[in-house]
Amino acid sequence: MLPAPIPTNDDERLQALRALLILDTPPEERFDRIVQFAADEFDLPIALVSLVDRDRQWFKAKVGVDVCETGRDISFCGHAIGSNEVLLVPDATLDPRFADNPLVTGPPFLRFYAGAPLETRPGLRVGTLCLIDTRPRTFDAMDLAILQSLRDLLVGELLEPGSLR
Amino acid sequence: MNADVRPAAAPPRPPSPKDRKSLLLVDPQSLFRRTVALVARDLDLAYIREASSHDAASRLLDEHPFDGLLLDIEDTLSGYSLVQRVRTGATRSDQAMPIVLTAASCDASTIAFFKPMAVQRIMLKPFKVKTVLEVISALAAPGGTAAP
Repeated sequence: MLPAPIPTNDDERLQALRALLILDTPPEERFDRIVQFAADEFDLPIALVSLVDRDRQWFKAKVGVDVCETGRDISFCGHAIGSNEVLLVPDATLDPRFADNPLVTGPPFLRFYAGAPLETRPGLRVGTLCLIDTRPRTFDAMDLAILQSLRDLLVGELLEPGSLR
Repeated sequence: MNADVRPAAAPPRPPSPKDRKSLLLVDPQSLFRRTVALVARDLDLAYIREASSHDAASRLLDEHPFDGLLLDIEDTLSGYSLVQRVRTGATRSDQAMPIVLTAASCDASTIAFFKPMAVQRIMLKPFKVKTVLEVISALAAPGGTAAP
């Protein structure tokens, strides 16, 4: 397993994350409905708003998982924040970065992952809107565009609460 | 050369901003509406104007011509009135423009109600954003009507 790499600008990225004053806050309907919408749209069991903190990923909104955080080192989202592109993993068991990841070999037995980075300031990606399946699958161009648009709306809501009303 | 092998058809040319069609999407759910509008723009399918209510839609129809209308008819009478305005030429749009209705439920009486209005299709909710985008893509195609 390749542990999630730490971006060179991680301190600045963490400052941007903390400036949102959102870590460890209660669930909010405005984020919950985005992950529920995404899970329904793609018929996926798991959808998350994951914020990548110094040593953990913490879930601001979640569908399909009970835990509220996991270690950053094993997180897929820790990889996804390394680029502004959507990280697509069609089958984690076939990807050397993730094949022996405990999230793949154990619960929730992740196979498919799509993570759209949440860039709140240029170059600073605080987390992801991510979709997970326990079966391999593919994403076409329209799926990607839908995920990216939901991500854009989510970033708008992070920066300007109420923008989706 | 094998006679069965034909050159691949050229992919459809995306519409230029000049000939991109303009559609009006009327739906009370902002997340659905915004997502459809953003994806349609990103994929260059069509230019989507949004309205959250029939009143807002009516104002937009008074101000701008559209090439198609996707209309939630949760409020059936108000929806009918809006469709009727289009079909009688009381808006700036072509009175024959394609109209697709969306509804949480639809019985025979609703279909009979709207049938004389020559709507292209009634889509039952819930449906996927992807399904709506496919309909938009069909509406925005040259001479487009909603796919069956």
